[in-house]
Amino acid sequence: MTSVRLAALIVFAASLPLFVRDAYLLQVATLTLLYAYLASSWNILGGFAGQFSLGHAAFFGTGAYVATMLQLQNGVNPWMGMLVAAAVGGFLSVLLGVPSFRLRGPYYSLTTIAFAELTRIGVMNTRQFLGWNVRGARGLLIPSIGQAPLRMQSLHKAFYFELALALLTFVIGLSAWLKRRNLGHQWAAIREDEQAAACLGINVLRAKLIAAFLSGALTAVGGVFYAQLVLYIDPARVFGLDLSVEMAVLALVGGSGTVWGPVLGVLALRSIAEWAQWTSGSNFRGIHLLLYGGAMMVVVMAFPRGIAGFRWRSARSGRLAEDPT
Amino acid sequence: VIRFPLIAACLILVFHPAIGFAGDDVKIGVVLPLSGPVSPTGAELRRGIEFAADEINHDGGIRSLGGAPLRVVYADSRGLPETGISETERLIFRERVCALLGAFQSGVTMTTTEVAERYRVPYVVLVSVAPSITQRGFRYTFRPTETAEIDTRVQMDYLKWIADRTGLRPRTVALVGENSEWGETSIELTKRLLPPDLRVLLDERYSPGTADFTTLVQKLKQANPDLIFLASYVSDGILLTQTLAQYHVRTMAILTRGAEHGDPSYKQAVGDFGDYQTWMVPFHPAQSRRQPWMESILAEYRRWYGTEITPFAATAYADVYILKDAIERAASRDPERIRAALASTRLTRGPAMLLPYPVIEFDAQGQNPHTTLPLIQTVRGTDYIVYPPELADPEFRPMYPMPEWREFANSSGAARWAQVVVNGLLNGGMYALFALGLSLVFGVMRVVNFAHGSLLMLSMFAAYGAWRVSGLSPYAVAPLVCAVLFLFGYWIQTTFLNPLLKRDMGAVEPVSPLLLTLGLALVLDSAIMLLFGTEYRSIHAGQNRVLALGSINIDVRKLVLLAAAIAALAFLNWVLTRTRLGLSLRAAAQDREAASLQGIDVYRTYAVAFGMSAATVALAGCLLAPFYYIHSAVGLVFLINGFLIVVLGGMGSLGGTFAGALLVGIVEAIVAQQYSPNVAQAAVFLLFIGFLLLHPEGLSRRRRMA
Repeated sequence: MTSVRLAALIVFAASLPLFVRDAYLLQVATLTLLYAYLASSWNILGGFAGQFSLGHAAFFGTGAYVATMLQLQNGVNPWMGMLVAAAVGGFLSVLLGVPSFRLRGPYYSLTTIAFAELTRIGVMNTRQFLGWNVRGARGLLIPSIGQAPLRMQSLHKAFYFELALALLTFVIGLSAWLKRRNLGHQWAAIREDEQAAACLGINVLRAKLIAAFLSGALTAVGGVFYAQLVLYIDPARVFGLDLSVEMAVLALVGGSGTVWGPVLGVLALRSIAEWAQWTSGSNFRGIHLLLYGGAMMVVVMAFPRGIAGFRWRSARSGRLAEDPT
Repeated sequence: VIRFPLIAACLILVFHPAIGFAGDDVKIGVVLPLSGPVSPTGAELRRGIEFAADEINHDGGIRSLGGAPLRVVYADSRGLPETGISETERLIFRERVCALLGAFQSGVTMTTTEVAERYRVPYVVLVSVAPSITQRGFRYTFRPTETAEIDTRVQMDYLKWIADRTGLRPRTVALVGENSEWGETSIELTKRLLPPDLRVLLDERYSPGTADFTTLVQKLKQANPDLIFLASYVSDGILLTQTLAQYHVRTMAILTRGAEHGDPSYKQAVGDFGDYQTWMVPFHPAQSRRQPWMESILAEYRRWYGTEITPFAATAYADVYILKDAIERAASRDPERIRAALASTRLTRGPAMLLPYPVIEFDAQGQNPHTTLPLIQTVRGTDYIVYPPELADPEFRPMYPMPEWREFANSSGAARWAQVVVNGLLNGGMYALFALGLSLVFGVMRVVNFAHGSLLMLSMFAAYGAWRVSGLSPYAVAPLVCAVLFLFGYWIQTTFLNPLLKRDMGAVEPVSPLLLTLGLALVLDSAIMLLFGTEYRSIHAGQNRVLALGSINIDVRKLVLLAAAIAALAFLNWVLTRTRLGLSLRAAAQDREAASLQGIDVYRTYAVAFGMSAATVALAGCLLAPFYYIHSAVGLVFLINGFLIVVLGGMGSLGGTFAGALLVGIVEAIVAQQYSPNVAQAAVFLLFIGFLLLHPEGLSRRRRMA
C-alpha cells in the first residue's frame, strides 16, 4: 500500500468520530480496533517469528494488572503505568522465551498455554502481592473520574476510539518497518526453517527474544487500554485461555506473518460474527463461535496464508515467489 | 487495489446500523448472558421477563400512558464486561430504551451500570449480589434484591437461631468455594461475619470446572468440621454433592449459597444426594404455602412453560413489575422521570412481592434495605423453607443436625495418605483413558488434537441420547458408541488432516493440524450447544458404589475406568507390536516417505490410528457418563491436563502416557491434600513446564526418530 493511500486511510478512520456520534458504534469500533491491535501484536511473535503462542493473555493480563495496581494503590498516572506495564510485559515474555524457545511447534504452543494458565491461577489466588491488594479472583474496579484524558479516561467514546486507532497505527507501522529491516528477514528465515537460519549465521535465540519482547510489551499495553476502557478487570477474563486463542485465531485467519493480515482477520471475523448476531438475534446464541471455528478450518485447509495471502495471490499471482509473506 | 474497497466494505458491515423505531410502546432494555458459560441462567431470566411483560401487556399495558404496551429489547453480554458495555450502549442509543435491567454476573453489572450512570438511564440490577454495586454513590442504579452480605447474615442468623432452639452449638467450620469473583466474595464475607467462637479448620478454593472432588471431600471428612459452607455453581456443585454423599460426609449442617440448588438441572443430576443441605435462593415456590395469593402466578407460569418457575425467573419477573410500577407512576417515557419514580418506590403488594420482603423501596444508594431470603432444606425430594420464621413452613422441623451425623474417628496418618494415593491412582486412570488416544495420534503423526475433548463430549452425548431413548445404560452402549466414534475419527482424518499432512510434508513440526483441530473443536462444541442447549444433563445409573478395603474407600466406577485404561493400553500395545497394522503404524510414524516406499498406505494407516484414538476416548466418555455432568463444554475439563500428560509421558509413548496420567493424578491428590485443589492445579502446570525445560534434548531426540 502506498504511503499516500495509507495516510488517506488513517485520516479517514481518525475522522470517523466526526460523523459517527453514536456511542454504541464507537464502542464497537473501538473494540474492533483493540482486537486488531492485539492480533497485530501477537503477529510479531506468532506470525513474523513463527512462534505460535497460545498464551498471550498472560501479557495482556499482566499489563492490565500492573497499570491498574499502580494507579489504584500508588496513584501512578495510567499513561505512566502503560510504560511500566509495557516493560513488565516485555520482560515477562523474554523470561518465558529464554527457556521455551528451545521447543518447537506444538511443544512451544502447549508450554505457552501452561504458562498463561499458571499466571491466571496465580493471580486468582493472590490477595496481597508486594503490599498491593490484588483481591484474587474478585478483580479490580477502577473508579470512573469523568472527563480526564490526562489520566486516560474520558466521557467521550471518541477518545478511546482515537487512542485505539493510534495504538493500531503504531503497531502496523512498527510491523511494516521491522519487516523490511534485517530483523524482519531474520524472522522470516527462522519461520521457514529454523535450522537453515542458524546455519546462515543468524542468532536465532536473539531474534526470537526481540520478537517476544516487542510482542509481549505491545500486548501488555493493550491490557492497560482495556482496563481503562472497561474500568473493571478480573483474572478469569484478562488472563483467560479464550483471549489467548482469540488473538491467535484472528491473526491466523487474516494471514499471520503479513502486516495487514491480523487487521483483515479481525474485520472479516468480527463483522461476520456481528452480522450473525444481528440476523439470528439471540435465538442462535453462540453461533459466532461456530463461525470462528468454521472460518479457521477453511483458512487452514484452503488458504494457508490467510485472507491476506489469498488476495495477494489472486491479484499478483505472477510475482508470488518474490514476497509471499 | 482491492484492499481499500475491501476494508471499506468490512467497515460498513461492522458499522451496519440497526434502525430503531420510536413507536408507541414503552421500551425497556435487558442485558443478559444469553451465550457463554452461564447462558442457561440467562435463558431462565429471559423467561421470567417475557412472562411478566406478556402479563402486563395482556392486562392493558401502562395505564398512565394510555395503555402503551411494554416492549422488552434483549441484548447478549456473552458474560463479558466489554460486550456488556457495547450492548448497553446499543440499547441506549439505538433502541432508545427508557430503562435498563441486567446483568446477572456482577462483573458485567458493575461495568454496565457505569454506562447507565453516564448516560442517565435508570438501571434495575438483576440478581447480582456483589455489595460494591450499590456502594459507589450511583444515582441511576437500583437493586431491589439482596447483596452477598445479606446472604451471609441470613445464614449466620439462622445458625444462631437453630443453635438456640436445639442447644447444639457448632465449634468448627470448613469453607469451600469456587475461585471466581462470586465465590471469593461469598467466602470472604462468611469469614468476616462468622461468630468469633467458631474456628475455621479448612478454607479451600477450587477452580470452576474441576475434574474431580474426591481429595477435597476426604480432606473435609478428615477435618471433621461441625459446619461446612459451600459456594459452587451448577457443574461443580453436581460433582461436589455427589462426592459428599458418596463418602457420607455428614456434619451438623452443610450451608450452600444455592447457586447450584436453584438450577433445575442440578436437582435432576444429584437426585436425593442434595438432601439435608441448607441452601438459599432469592425466591422459592414453597413461599406460596404461607402466601396463597402467589399460587395463581405460579400456576400460570407452569401452564405457559410446562415447568415450575425457577428462583431466578421469579426474581426477573418481580423486577419487571418494579420497573412497571415506576413507569406507571412517572407517567412518562423520560428516563429522568422514571429514575425519580424508582427512587420513591414503595411496594408492599402486587406481583413484585414474590420477592420475600415486607417492603420494596430504595435507600440513597439505590439498595433495598429490607431484603432477606428463604433458607431451604430438601428432604426426600421436597423443599421446605426453614428460615426466616416468617417465611418458614410451620410444620417442618429443620433437620439439624443432619441425619446420620456422628463424630468421626480420625483415621491414622498412614491410612490417610494411603487413601490420598488411591484417589490419585483412580483419577489417574480416568485421565489415562482420556489421554491414550491423544497420545496415539501424537505419536503416529505428531498432531496435537485440540478436538479430543470434543470427541469425549460427543460420545457422552451419544451415551446420554441412547439412555434417554432406550433406557440402556452407558456401559451397554459403549461398544456401539466406540464403533461410531471410530468411523467419525476415520472420516476426520481422511477429510481434513490427511490433506494437511500431505501439503505440509516439508515442515518439521507443523502447527496447521493443531489449528485445524482447534477450529474443529470450536465447531463441534458450539454445534452441540446450538442443538442441545446449555443446560447440564446427567444419567441416573443407580447408586454410587464404594468398596471399603479396611479404612480405604474405592469408588467402583472409577475403578472401572482405571481397568478400562489398562485394558486399552494393553490392546493398543498389542496392536502396535503384534499386528501388521501396528507395523505399518510404527513405520509411518518413523518415516512417512520410507513407509510409503515399502508399499504401506500411510494415509489409510493414519486414518485407522485416528479412528482408534476416537474409539478410546469414546470408551472414556461412556464410562464417565454415569457419574459426570453432560455439557457441550465438558471436554475442556480434561483437555489441557490431557496435553500435559502426553508431553510428560514422553510424546506419544503409550506406556509413558499411562504412567504420566497416574503421576498427574497422584501429584494432584497429594498437593490438594497438603495445600489446596487450586495449588494442585498450579503444581501440575509447574511440573509440566519444569519437565519440558529440563528435558528439551530428550524431546528433540525423539523428534528426529519420528
